[in-house]
Amino acid sequence: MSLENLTMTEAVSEIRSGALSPLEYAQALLARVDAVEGRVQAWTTIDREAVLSEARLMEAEARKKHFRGPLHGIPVGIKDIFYTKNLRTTMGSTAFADFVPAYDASVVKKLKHAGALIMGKCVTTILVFLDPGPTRNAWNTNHTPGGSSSGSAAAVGARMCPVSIGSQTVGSVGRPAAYNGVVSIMPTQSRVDMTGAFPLAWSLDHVGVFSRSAADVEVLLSSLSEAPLPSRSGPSHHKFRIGLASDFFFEKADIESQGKIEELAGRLSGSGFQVTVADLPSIFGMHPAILRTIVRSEAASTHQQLIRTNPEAYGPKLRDLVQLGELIDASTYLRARRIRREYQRQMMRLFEHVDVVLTPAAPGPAPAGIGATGDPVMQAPWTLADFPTMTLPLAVASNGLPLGIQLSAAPLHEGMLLEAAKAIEEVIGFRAQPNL
Amino acid sequence: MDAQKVTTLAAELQRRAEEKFGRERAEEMRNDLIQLARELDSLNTYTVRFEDEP
Repeated sequence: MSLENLTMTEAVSEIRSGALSPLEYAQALLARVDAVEGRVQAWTTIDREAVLSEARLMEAEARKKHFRGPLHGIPVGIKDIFYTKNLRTTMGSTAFADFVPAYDASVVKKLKHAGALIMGKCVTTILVFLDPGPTRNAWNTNHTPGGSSSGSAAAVGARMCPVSIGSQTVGSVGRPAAYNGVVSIMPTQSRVDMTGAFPLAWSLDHVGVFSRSAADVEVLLSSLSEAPLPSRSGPSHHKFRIGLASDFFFEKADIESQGKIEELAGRLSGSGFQVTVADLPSIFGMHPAILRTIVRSEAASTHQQLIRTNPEAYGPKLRDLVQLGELIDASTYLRARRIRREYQRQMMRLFEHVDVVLTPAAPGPAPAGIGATGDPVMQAPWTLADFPTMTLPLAVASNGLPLGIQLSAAPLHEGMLLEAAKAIEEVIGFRAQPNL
Repeated sequence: MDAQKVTTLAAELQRRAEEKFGRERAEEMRNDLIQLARELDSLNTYTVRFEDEP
């Protein structure tokens, strides 16, 4: 197998056994960047000399069987909103084109502590909202990679790095993961510290992780988590109870996606999973109003100075968002935050009878063109609820682009979610790769 | 949804937008302001309990 196709856990195992050197691995991935980056445009900054120099150090350490941590020698892409000490961090905006942070974001610190090699900064949409950057889909460069974690998802999809870090405020991890045929998780907000990341709406901003297997996500998330991931106790994985949330989510999905999910549900039942229908609570229909009011208000607060001093740095969609937010009064914002609490409470009842809820991860494959980043409609209800959510690749659609599924669990149940994802991933058996 | 309330709220938002961003920009925002008024009205009419503190 070529080195760029190794999953992270495979690479970890090869490095630990001495069969793969961190330097050889970094060189292979940089060669992959040379081969495909011109078409995908997933990176804003890669400091090759720094990457190779650090990889040489890690190689020397590995030879002596000294490993810094569970990610020793693993190159990681970082969304360009997370501060990286002495490495340019642009937020996808001309306003920060030359900004070099003096410190690392919390997730970057944790990655380094675990032995990861910071490979570079991945493209974000402009200031983490819907105005796209230059990145293209890893499976078909005429299509959007999704956003806002466009570069992070495309870099992993295009095999330029095995894992990457992104962020999600509405649908910025799950949607690009689905569009680029990769695995992702958005953990519960309190699971991973966002300190040192440029915000969009702080009560909704979440760290996210991209990889090419659920096992990779588990290892990476364990390194980032503020507390150990609880594992699921009780019956074996064949007894996972899966709730299929069909009504709203199926209405928003195309026919092909609906068919693939129904087919998967049948295969899961046949494999011993308990598949039932999950009924959404009455408050569910309120979620767009609650979410938009919070995002607009918090984004207006985040941007109130910058939009006045650097109006040229704003895309039209973010400008609209901020200006609408400036019209919402404080009591209405707080009312939305209060209704969010009730929304979370009612949504929690979904998990009285099921372990995970299964939905499509996007309305369909990635839309054509790169002028927009697609629809976050499948992620929005779960981000608002702050329920950990994973995306898994499911199948290749008739147009050659990937389709994904989304799994959601109760807050802080990432351990169980990961166990379920690994079991479902096995049933799906997705092996397709992009042909760049 | 009370259509009259939404119309009144949209007019108020339009007035605030003109004051903050000027008449031309407020006019460009008209459709978004109507949608915002609908959403804010749905929040305003939802009953919240005293213990639902954010």
